[in-house]
Amino acid sequence: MKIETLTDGRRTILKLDGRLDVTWAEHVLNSALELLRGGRHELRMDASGLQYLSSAGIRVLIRIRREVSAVQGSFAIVNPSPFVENALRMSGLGELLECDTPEQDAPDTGTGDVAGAPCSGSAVQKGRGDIDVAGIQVDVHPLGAGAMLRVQATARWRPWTPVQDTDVVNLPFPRPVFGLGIGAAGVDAGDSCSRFGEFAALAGCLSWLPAGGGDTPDYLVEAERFTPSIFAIQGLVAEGAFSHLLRFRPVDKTGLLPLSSLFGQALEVTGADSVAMVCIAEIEGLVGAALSRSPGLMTTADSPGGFPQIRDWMAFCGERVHARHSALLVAFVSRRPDAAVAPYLVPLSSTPGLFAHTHAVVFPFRPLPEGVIDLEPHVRMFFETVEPVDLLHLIEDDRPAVGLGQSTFLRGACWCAPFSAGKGGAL
Amino acid sequence: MLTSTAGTGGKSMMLEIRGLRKTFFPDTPNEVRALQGIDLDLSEGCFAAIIGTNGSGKSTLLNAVAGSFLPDQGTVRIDGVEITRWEEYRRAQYVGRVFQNPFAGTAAGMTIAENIGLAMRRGLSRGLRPALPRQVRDAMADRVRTLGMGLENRLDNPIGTLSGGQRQALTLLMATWLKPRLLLLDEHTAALDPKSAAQVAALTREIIEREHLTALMVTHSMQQAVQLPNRIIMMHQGRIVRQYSESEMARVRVPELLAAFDRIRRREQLDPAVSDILGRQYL
Ligand SMILES: Nc1ncnc2c1ncn2[C@@H]1O[C@H](COP(=O)(O)OP(=O)(O)OP(=O)(O)O)[C@@H](O)[C@H]1O
Ligand SMILES: [Mg+2]
Repeated sequence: MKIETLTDGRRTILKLDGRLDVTWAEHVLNSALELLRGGRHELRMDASGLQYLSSAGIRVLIRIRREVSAVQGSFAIVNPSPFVENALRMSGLGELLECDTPEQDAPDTGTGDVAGAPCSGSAVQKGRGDIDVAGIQVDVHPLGAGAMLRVQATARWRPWTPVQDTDVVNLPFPRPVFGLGIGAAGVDAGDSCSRFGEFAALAGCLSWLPAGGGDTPDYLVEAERFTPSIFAIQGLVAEGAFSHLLRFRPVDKTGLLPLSSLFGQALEVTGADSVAMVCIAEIEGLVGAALSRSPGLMTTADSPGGFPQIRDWMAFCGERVHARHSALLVAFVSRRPDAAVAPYLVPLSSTPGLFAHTHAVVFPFRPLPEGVIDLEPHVRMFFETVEPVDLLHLIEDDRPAVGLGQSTFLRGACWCAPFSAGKGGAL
Repeated sequence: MLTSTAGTGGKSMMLEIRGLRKTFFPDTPNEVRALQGIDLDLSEGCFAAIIGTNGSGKSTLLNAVAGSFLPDQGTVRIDGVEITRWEEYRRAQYVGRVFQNPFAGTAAGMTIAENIGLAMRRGLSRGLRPALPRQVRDAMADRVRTLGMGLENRLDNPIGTLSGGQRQALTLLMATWLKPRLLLLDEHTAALDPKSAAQVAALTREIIEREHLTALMVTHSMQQAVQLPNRIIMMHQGRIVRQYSESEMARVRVPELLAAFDRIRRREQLDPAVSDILGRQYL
């Protein structure tokens, strides 16, 4: 990203060249704030060289507009490419494009109140059961009797075959849909190919870790007519209603909930063989790995066939990480995986007979209210107030003696339901 | 329309290193592969910092360029001239150096003026030491004045009477007196107190910019790495593992460098057993 500052009378033009994504968002914001601090209150952003705009970038634009209007200045985007213009319009920021009218009181496009969690059942039902895991209290809240999820493997690349054009599928994630996989958001499939990494999506929020782009996840948040979507090469996608909410918390100092116990709980309360879930939880320690180089860059000559080449393609956490942070989890678990999803679930070494696939988006800690809560506003609160700091594909490190074990949690909320696997293709 | 090619911006290459390798104590239990295939280009006027863990080969790389030893493999070119097999003294006409130790670059018993006199005749025989004509002394004082340390009034004091920071500032001035094609700095502020270190760091940038020098600076200070140069080269175990280009420098801050080191550390932890786990558990 290159920023050029030009002066045009009272106006100052910030000319951006490159991608306004999470990597550059703060730098662009600081450049604008620095100008404001220097008394330049009439800002224009020349977007002719702006190739891409993510939600992190859009958030920066909103922030600049807010700061500018606080000093009665003006701010507008000029010369946007069709992609940028569309991204702004879809996010309800079309008025930022009306370049020659100084802004008045444009309010922030908050997402406002949203009624009900999309995936939750119609009403909280009576009859809640309490279960004890060692040191952990689990409260079970039935949400909707008979609620089910439909799960599909919508993109089907598997490591480590070279990625074909036909492996790439554009997956939209409107609010009621959640899922995980490997992909990258971008202008088009070709643009994304060098950045494929782990992603997770829930409640209209999509976060992915662009491989090779440092360590910070990027994200897209649903707004007005904008629906986050990602060019995925692998994707497990769920839609439907949740049947249960589990709330868990430690009852003594030793109380910890291993991920496999949470899976066990979910299978038990739903009485199902296959469960899909999303979860907001305080982390005790995560164990996982993530792509550090996009599989889109694989060639037959340069591929992660094994050790040590794997080091160029994947990053391992190396220790139990992100204690005291919050995680948003998306997980698929099964005792008897249906053939349609079986290739995307792996056996858990801690729990023979259980197969799962879990991605965790890590945020700075935020507390949750007690009791029955809705998924969506709480998920969105994370994306709207703090930024994701990491994204991991969780694994169980069963190396003798030095193994890091599995991921564990202290307290949280888990929405789940039995799932049936559908055939691939559109939902 | 003017278009600039990515990276070099059309400028000529001042330093070109290709496939440089150096192993100390080969085929012994103490074998150290200090440089394991270094490729590096510095365009004219580029100021690059080299950062890296202890023993990653930073000093060895600088020594190889300066000619302290001959590499096992690879080539070094300065300003288009291949100097790989040149003796160290022959390279001195191209290369200025400042080391960590403030006492290494100057002769303690000689005066400031005499030390600078040597620097002015770099590459010439050491035997010749004619007295300095008046106008040369004045020019010398003018340049020493740019250090802002008042040393121009002490040209006849022995250099051994100066503080470490003052000596290092003078060494820097002497190393750049004849505008070397390449300036090599090896942790040249590390032995100084924080205030002198900051002063010498600022001076370094000033001189490099003013003289439009091409420079390679080894540093352990992440702060210096993000503030001074226009490029960062990160080394680990004899290899360049990451570079921050001129355009990336605008946003790179210390935490990002620390995170990059952390990634390197984690990379090591991906051992064959973890590789096996990923083989079973990664989709
Ligand atoms: N002359 C030498 N003889 C033998 N081994 C050497 C020699 N010079 C360097 N080494 C070894 O080569 C490796 C790289 O050393 P080098 O001094 O280049 O590291 P460095 O990156 O400068 O480290 P530091 O940050 O500690 O200065 C080390 O293991 C060192 O012990
Ligand atoms: Mg060294």
